Amino acid sequence: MQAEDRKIIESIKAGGLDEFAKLYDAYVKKIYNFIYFRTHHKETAEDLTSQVFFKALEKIRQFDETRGAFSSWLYRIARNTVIDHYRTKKEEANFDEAYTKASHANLNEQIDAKNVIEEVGKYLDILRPEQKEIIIMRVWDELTYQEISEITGKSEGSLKMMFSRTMGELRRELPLAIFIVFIIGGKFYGRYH
Amino acid sequence: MEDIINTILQDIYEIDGSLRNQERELKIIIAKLIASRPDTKFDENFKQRLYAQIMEKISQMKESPSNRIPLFINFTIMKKIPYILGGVAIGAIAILPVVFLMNNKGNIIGAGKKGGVSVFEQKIARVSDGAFGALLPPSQDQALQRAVSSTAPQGLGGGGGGAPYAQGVSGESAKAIAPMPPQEWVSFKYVYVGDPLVLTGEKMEVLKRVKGSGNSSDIADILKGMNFGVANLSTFTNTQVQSFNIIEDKEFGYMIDVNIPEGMVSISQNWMKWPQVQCADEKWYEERRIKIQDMLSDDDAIQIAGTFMDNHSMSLSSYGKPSVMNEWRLYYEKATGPEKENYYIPENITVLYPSVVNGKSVYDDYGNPVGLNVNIDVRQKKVSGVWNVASQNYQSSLYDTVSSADEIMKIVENGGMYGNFDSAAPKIQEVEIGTPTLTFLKVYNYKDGQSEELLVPAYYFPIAKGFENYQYMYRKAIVVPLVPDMLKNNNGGGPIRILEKVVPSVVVPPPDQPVIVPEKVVQ
Repeated sequence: MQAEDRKIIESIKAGGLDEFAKLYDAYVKKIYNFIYFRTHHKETAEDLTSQVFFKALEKIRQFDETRGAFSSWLYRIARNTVIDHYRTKKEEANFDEAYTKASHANLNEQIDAKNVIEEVGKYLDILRPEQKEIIIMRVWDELTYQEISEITGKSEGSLKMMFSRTMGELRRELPLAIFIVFIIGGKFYGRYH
Repeated sequence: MEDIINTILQDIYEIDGSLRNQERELKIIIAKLIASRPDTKFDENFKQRLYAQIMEKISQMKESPSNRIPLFINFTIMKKIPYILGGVAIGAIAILPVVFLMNNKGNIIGAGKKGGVSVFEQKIARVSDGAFGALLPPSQDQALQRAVSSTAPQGLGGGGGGAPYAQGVSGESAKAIAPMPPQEWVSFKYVYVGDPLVLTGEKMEVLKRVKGSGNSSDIADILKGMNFGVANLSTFTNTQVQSFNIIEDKEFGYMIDVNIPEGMVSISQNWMKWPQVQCADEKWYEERRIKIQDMLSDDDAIQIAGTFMDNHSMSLSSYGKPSVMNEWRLYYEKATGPEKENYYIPENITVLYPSVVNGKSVYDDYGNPVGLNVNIDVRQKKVSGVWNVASQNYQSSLYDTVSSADEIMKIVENGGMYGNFDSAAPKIQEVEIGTPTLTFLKVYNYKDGQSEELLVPAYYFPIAKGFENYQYMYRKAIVVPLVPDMLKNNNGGGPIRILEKVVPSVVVPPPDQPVIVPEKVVQ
């Protein structure tokens, strides 16, 4: 993907601005999801996604591939846009809490999903914000360590270390009862064990 | 998901190998984290809307790199409208939709030579190969409906070549009027006489029209704040404006209908402001009906259409040379005696501006050119309506094409996608087909309850000879799509039975209805 992105960006810089549509096509859903995971509100996610792509379009000619992948650059714009959104709104919710405080308005019809999110959210709450962020980026956004490193400015090594330690902490904190319920429920155990 | 879990586990073990002992618990934690990933409700319509806005922005940036319009025209500008308008109430209903459509410089419908860039200027953006999924052939019913609704000429009934023309009269009522024809038919055998066909199977572009443009939720928010006295509209949430119309309150005024999700604008008469014709009796009708000498010349009709388009700054950059849809004249010229004398001369004629997309003409399944229709009121010598004004933002995706000339020829010799040569017919008429040109075929791909408008590369085979003695065979071409998937299961129609040797009869229609010609019937 990176090589393909690079070719498209070269073409854009050479004047082929229409090629931006290919980048849009490849990333719009990922960026929307990234924002949704942090806002839990469809219309807000759509609005912020629009802002991200318009910002990217305006700055694409200034994109420097020597400083990282295009995807990381785009996610960085998205991350900053979400942070700005929370700063502007000055609501109770903030960027860190948004990872786990879902607006349940969207979940009323998905009781199972709501329960899982609440349950997982409860345990994520014991984590520090940067730990939560890496969990979400790695597991929900399915970003690579290289991408997370380029987005957050932290080294890959320290990110891996933090992720590993976080998982260790979660393993210690999650009570045995949850494992038992989970195993009996068999929802994932049968498939992944 | 298992791959993701294993990848994550490997990352963990790379740092702390001792955690392998807790693999079972870790797997559960990771699976649970993945399961807690919310359903984001990603909306394909949103994707298309934003795409259209981005392409519009790109077009603006290309045209005026040094004088860029604020980026968030559809969001930030729209969001300021409530503050700008403040307490302005009902007047805003008319104003806001216009603001929505305007790009800049007050231009509503298209750029033309007076305005900037609009969604009605042609923009094509490449997306990945095969991005529109499998392209399936449309059902014959859909194709027939489109053939009837999109291109029916005035004053013409009957049909032929698989594309019945019947404006203003439904199939059922036409059947009720038409006498039963004798049970004899002729089947057409299509013979290719053009240059040898060479197909390379190279990838060609399929275009998808990006329909809606703009975020109309802000307009809805403002309208909701107004008190119409019937309900508290502000109690409705997540609202958007889907369509609206604007009327010209003046003599010979127009009504402009805007369909935002479809990216379509149509213009029609504001009937209250146009002279109303009420037919009193047959004598009255005979005195006032349009005579052949009243009919506008093609040049005059095209000039009236062109002036209207120019006056309203409607962009014609996506269309080719206009022509008048004059099929009714073919039948008028061939009619004799009382049939000719009583022939219904249409009160409206249509000037067609044929679509030209990426340098190629666009046709429907039956070889009719597709484009922008401008109706002219012959009596008033004024434009009475404009149809098919559609946003011209397209996505382009490469698809494999047919490499076997035999496959194409088989379809051509059968009479096209919906043709069905019937060798058992008592009479076989050979029809000569000439060398094809590469064009686009407009099709509709129904997916998830929505229709996508696609332009598929296709060969347009002109019909050179063979219909001369078949008065109601007006078909001009056979169009065959070049995308292999679309050629599957194309044989959906029954034999085309063109009946002949019947006694001509005349049906005098009431005013404003076309003549029903019963002599030839397509089954």
